Amino acid sequence: MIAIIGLLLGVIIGVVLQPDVPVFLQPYLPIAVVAALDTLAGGLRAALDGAFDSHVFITSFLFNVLIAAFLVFLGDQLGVGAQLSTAVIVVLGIRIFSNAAAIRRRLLRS
Amino acid sequence: MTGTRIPESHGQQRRAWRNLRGTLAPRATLSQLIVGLLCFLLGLSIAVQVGQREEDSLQGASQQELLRLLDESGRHVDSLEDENAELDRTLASLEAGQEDDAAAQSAAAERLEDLEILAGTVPAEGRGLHVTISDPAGSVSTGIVLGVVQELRNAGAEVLQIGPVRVIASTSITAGADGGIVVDGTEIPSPYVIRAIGDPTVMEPALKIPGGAADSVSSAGGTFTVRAEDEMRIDAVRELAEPTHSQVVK
Repeated sequence: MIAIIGLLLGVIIGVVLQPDVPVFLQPYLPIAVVAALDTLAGGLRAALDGAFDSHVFITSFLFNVLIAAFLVFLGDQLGVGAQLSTAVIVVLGIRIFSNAAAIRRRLLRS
Repeated sequence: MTGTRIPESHGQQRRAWRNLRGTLAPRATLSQLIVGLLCFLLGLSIAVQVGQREEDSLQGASQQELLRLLDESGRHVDSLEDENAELDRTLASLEAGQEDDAAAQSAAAERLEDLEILAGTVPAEGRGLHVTISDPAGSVSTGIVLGVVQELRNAGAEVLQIGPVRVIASTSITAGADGGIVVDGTEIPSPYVIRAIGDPTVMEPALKIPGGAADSVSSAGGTFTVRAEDEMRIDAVRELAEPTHSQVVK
């Protein structure tokens, strides 16, 4: 419940205040958001299995976000930023879809 | 893979819902608060990122896209510069044409002035010679006066006036009924005053060469006086007759 409230609060504050993204964060924010969404979907699925663990969620959230951002950074340094960003997005998208499918099966079988 | 496991019964499905409710139930533990904070950050990032993209489409553009845009604008600039150069050339040619027109116009104006002086339609001024032939005895013939005029013309007189009459190309000098001369139908009594614009240092010796115009006046019994003037004005003008039969060959 705290998580949902936090999510809604974040969206509302972001829409109302429209803060500027620091320049050094701008390339990484979109990928980080997708990675965080993936972690969120994974956490939700774990919760349905009764295996949700806050510590696991927190570490995987932070790690996913950092690795995604690092991959974008590395790709930019290697000159394949656009391709690597696409690759990360594709992988994360697949994971989000599979997690979402699992969640749907657990909740809506009937 | 556990993700594809399908609950076998309604019991398992109910358990899933129960698990969800259990997880979502608010518990004020530190971990839950951190999870909430992370979710808050996620929501904030989503909202900000969406706003950012609406704000400026260039900021989210990739390097290739930016390069393409730069390339396109560069090409656009090139074509505009080409157009600019073209227009500059057109402007230059138009200006050159205008200068040519102006030159032609001033040349035509100059030519008009020359022709007006030649035709005697305008007054003229300049240095020249003032010749007086007095003939108290009436013995100076028309031919002698004509000789003086011819001599002046030969010596480079540009504008001539006999008495009050401007001398032009078609001027005739004939003998009058009572011994005077008639210039273009105007009878002129003695003394005959001839005014000529030209170089006096050329015209005066030309008149005075031995056996020339001056001598023939003296030998006919008249007196011949000549005076050089630095500023002479010839005011007599002629009306130009419009040619009725002739046309310019083009």
